[in-house]
Amino acid sequence: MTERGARARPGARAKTKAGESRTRAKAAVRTTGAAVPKAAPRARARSRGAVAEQVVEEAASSPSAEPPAEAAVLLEEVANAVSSPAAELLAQGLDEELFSGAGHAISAQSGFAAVDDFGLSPATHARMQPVLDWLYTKYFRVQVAGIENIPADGPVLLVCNHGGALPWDGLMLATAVAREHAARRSLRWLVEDFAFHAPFLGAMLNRIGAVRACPENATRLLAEGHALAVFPEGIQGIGKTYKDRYRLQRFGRGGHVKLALRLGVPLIPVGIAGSDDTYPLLYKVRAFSKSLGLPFIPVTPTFPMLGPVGLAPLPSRFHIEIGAPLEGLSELTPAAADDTLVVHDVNDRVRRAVAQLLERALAARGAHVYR
Amino acid sequence: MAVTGASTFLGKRLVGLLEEDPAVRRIVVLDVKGSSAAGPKTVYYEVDLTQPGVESRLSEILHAENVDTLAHLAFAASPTQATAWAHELESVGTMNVLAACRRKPIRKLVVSSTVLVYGPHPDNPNFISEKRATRGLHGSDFVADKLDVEAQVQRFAAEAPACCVSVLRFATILGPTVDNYVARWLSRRLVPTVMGHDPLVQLAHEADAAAALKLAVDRDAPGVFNIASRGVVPVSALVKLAGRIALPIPYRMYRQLAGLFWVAQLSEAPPSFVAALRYLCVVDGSEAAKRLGFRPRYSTQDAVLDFEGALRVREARLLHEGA
Repeated sequence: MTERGARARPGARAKTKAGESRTRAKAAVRTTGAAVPKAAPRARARSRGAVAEQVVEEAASSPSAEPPAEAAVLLEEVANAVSSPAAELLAQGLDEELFSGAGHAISAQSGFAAVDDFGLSPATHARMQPVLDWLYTKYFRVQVAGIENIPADGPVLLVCNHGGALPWDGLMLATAVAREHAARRSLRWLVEDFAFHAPFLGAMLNRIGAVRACPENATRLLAEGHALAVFPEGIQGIGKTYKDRYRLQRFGRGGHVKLALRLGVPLIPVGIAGSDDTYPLLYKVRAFSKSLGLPFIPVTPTFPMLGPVGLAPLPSRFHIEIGAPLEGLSELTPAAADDTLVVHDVNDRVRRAVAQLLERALAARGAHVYR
Repeated sequence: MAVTGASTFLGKRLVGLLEEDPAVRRIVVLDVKGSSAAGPKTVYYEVDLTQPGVESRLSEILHAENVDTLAHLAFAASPTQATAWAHELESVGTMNVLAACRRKPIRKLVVSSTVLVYGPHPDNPNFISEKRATRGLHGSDFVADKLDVEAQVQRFAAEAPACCVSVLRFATILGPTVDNYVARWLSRRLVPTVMGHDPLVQLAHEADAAAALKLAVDRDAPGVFNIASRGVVPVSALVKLAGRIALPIPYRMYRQLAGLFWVAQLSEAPPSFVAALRYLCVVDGSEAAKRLGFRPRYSTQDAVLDFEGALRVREARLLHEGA
């Protein structure tokens, strides 16, 4: 703040010399000492020098980037462009370094960013980790088999069964991969609109790795090399009543298969036992649900009778079976993604594989669901 | 080279950059007032796009100056209470400008637009490409005018195939010197947000925006381009990075209050813009990178931090010390 203030003096416009700004910043710290936050100006001044060099490097390496001279010109124009007296003075103090200010220095040097492109915040995730660990080990007591089937790197598509009124299965699967996988891979998973836009819940899920389910997002995530979990049953899977628990619904329209074929990404079937027991759904109320932005209003033994407390999932035990990658996909060309029959065939095979794994997971979990 | 709306934020920066560009011989400024960035190469014609009969004046000037490239930037950067005036300026003004360009064929036309033409919608993908339908923002005259302008420009591009037409859809521009509704919203001590929602926000740093505009003028890349800086930031982090305190308000209450405040002229945007605090409207800039050669040098975070730095200086009134 102070150093920028100092720079705002008329006539104090530096062009590109980082050293000059450093001395000025120091002078500003000396003169106004008491009011200055101590570490920040020094850190900023130091990083500026490096940034100036980096900017030059960038300009030299990429032909499309604006050359530094042009940036200086631009800044002069900024100085000319503003109209209010305060802004005019501000602009006189503007130089290239203010534009490549602290934020640029931090993000360029340490890769610091609040969130990644899809909204995952490493800081929030780290803060939530103890909660996730507790849910994983103590509450849902998750058991995982076949985690080694997920490759150590590269894009991969996990196709899972879906259950429970809220998407705990995706969260537990992602936690399982982060905890148990040898490469500690970070798994992104897709959630339905109603969960993604649910107040508080959606924002939190997004910060810890969930992404809104749509083909564009899935394509981009896989193209960037992420491991991605999808739940092709979608709302159908979530909306199963208790008597239909773990009965596999239709697998969408095979969008996930098309995606995998088009991008040449391995498909890994996953069976998750436990999610359908988190909210034993007795009845679905369709009235008013549209106005609340929900597919239906669930009636469970605890909800809505106990109010928001009823939203807490029952502590069912989870067992996750991760299968081997679906065979025979590598022979298919990306063009096969446009062949409806091939897509149907592959989708059927994935669904059968998920059904088998789910059977196995249910058997492995045993009869004691909540204990 | 001619520029309409040269006294707008983008207009001033473009005129400044053109003044420094040795390849540009003459800059014709068409606006209601001269550009403060004007230099020796600039000639100024007082043209009010909202006046009837402006089309013949425009085509006369284009003929007389033998203009080959026109940057049409006469658009409001922020929603205004004077919706009728904004409509005259943007929608009807564009009609006149395009008609003049038909009368005196030009080689190239660059038009600025906004990513709000896609609109914040719950079913938006995380990155919107140029191919996606422009659905606008329900209930917003500001965005409706922009959509109308884009429709007119598309029609013009079809009618005048010899003219290279580039439309730049800018993400919200922010930086040390920019003044628009987002800057004003973020300048409040308590920044209202929607409770329980924290969508990702994307900005265009003002230097990136200016660089993209200059590139669009320099390079002949016809088509529509999304222009934004790198990266995204959630609304909550945006407010924190700006050193402000978020004031989360339940959505329905916020809509009501925003309506009242807008009518009372106490807020910077009409209630329809509350949707932008609920759902994301983030664009994919890869087309501009590929065909325009535009690679942002700044990130969304840089834009906020640079804005914050300037905001602090403004608030501390240090600017007046040396004055």
